[in-house]
Amino acid sequence: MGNFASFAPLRLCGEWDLFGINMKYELDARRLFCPMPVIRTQDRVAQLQPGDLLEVVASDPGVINDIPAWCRINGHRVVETREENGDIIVLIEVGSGE
Amino acid sequence: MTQQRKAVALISGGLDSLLAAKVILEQGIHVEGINFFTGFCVEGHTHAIRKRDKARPKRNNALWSAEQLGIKLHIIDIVEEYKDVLLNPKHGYGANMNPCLDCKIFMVHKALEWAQKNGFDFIITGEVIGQRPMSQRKETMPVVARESGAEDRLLRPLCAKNLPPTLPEREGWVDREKLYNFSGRNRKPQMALAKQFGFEDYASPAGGCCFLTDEAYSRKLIDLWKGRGNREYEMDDIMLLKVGRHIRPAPHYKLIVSREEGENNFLLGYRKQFIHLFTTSHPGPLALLDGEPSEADLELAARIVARYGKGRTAEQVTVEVHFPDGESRTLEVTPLLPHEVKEEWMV
Repeated sequence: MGNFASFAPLRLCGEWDLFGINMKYELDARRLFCPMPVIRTQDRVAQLQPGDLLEVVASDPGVINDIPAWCRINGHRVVETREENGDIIVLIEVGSGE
Repeated sequence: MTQQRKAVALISGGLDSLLAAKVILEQGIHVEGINFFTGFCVEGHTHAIRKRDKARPKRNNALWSAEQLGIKLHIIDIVEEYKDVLLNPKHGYGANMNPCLDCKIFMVHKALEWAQKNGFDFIITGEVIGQRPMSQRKETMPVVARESGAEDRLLRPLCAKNLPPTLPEREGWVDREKLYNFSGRNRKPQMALAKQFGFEDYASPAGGCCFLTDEAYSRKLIDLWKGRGNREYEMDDIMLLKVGRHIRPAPHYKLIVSREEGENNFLLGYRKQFIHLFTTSHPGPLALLDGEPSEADLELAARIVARYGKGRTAEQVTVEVHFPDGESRTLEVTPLLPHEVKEEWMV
């Protein structure tokens, strides 16, 4: 465990996907108003690997437009946008940044 | 092989920065955008808070600009660093609490740092000589270039021909002849250029993007500092100044009374940080109380809150007062009459 932690400490806070290659992470951006959820998303994505998934949970409806726009211009993909218990959830697949 | 030159463009979301970036993109330069979030940006927040604003299509204009341009946009949180710009502006304030010149110097400096870190060659802004009374004057253009540290790596494509050639022009990275000589407050040249580039539906050209240029907002900010006895502020303070009626019946406390459902919901999020009051016998607003009120103050605050509810003409209104420690009490009060809410209380 110690070796694993030192090898990939970032990945300890996510969960493995079915293939064990990429990771899924969650970002709580509730009670933040745009553009803060976008900034938090941007900063988090910068720490992830292409193919990783990031689920952003937000309360500002502005994210419905802003996060997909940010993804389009920065080379990431929105897998899903949905509302759940009053929160807005945007699932992003991290791109190569190209 | 010629080296691909790179420019970072300050993108505010307005027309000028959109055009400036486009002009340089057209010259084959690799452009990426940078947008700074100070906390005082008009966009986003109030749209998200007020219910009546939710009917409007909502978009972040800086992201929209970047998408129109087909460039990346980096949004940078400068809320903490910006405090020093606002509190200690070397060049003073504009008509309100807007430290426009210091703000521009700071943002160009931050863009320069970013450019150096990321291997970019120069910086673009949408500044136009004479466009803004404080920061965009012929005399202040060199001040921004010098004090930001950008010097001649700062290029203003829309008015470059009115200024001495910069490094990108002298080195032939960009063709000076394809830059512009716009000046003054006339927006027609920009609108014509937007049309030429096929840009439609861009953000209102005359629209300010900073709450600090707003007289009412600036008054509330000054009142906040005066009420607290110091000029410190946090993000929550900035946000709360954008919401509700601000009423200060006495120097040591202030009420923030919601004006509609969206604001009510927003203020609810602060109920664990502030004393909050609401009417229970009649529909009415939620109010936060910032300060340390006496019993008499609480009674007056309750009467003020009742005055803005549906029970404003009733003889008695029930108001619940909740404290951050979880305690609460119920007051039976007579709503203030409109003339009893003194004009000097309104911030």
